[in-house]
Amino acid sequence: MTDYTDPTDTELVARAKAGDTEAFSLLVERHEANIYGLCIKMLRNPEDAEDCLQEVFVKAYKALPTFREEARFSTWVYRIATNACLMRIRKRKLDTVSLDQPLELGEAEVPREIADWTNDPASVVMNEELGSVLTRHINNLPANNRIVFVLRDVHGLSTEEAAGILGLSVPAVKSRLHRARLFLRERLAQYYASGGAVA
Amino acid sequence: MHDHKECTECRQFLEILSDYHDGELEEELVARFELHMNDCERCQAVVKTFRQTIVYYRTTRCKAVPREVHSGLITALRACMDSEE
Repeated sequence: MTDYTDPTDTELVARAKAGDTEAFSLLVERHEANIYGLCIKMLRNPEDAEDCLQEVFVKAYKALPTFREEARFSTWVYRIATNACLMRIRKRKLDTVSLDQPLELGEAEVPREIADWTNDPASVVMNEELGSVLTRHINNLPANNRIVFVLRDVHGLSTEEAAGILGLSVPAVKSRLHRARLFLRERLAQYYASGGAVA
Repeated sequence: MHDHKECTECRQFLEILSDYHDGELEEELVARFELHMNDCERCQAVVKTFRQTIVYYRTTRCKAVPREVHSGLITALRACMDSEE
C-alpha cells in the first residue's frame, strides 16, 4: 500500500544527506517563505533579502553533512539565516544603532498614548496603510531587538528556540522582546491617536 | 482615574506585561495584576493594545515567496549542487 503522507523534515534530511537533491529541494520549498520573511524584516529591502535567501540555502546545502540533527531542521536554518542577516547588517552598517547597543526606550517605556484603539473600526482590517505603518515601526527597532521580535512574535517561535538560535540566555531574549513590544505598542498607539494619519 | 505615569503599581505591571501576556507570570502576580486592572482603565487599555500590536505583527508573517525569488533560489541551488557533484 502506498504511503501518501508527506515525509517529515527528518526523513527529508536523511534522504538529502544520502545525496537526494530532490529531498533538499522539498525542504527548501517548505521553509523558504519563513526565511525570506525573516530576511525582508531584517534587511529591509527585497533585493538584499533575495540575495540573503540564496546564501542561506546554499550554506545549508553545503553544511548539511555536518548537521547533527540535535535541533529541528527549521531551527538550524533559522540560525544560519539569523547569522547571515546580522553579518550583512554589520558589514553594510544598515542600522544606525549598534548591534550590541541595548534598546534605550527611555520615556517610551511609560505609555504616553493610553487610549484603547482596539475597538476602532479602522483597526479591524489590515489595510495597506496600516501594513506600511507596521513595517516602518519595526524597521526602527535596533537589529538586536528586531530579530528577537521577529522570531518570537512574527514567526511564533518559543523563547527557548529564539535563545538557542541567537546564542542568548532566555532572560536576555525576554528582555529584548519586552522592550521591542513596548516600543511597537507605543508607536502604534501614536498612529491611532493621530487619527490614523501617518505617525 | 489615577495618574498612570506616576502610579508605582502601573509601572511595576508594565515591567511584567510580557510575562503576563505569555502566561508566564506566577498565579499570585496574575491575581494582583487583574485586581489592579479592575480599577485601572488605563492598564486595561495598555494590555489590550499590547496584545493587539502582537496580533497585527503576527499577520505580517511572509506566507509565500514571490515566484521570481523562488526561481532565483532554485537556480542558485542547482548551480551549487552541480558544482558539488
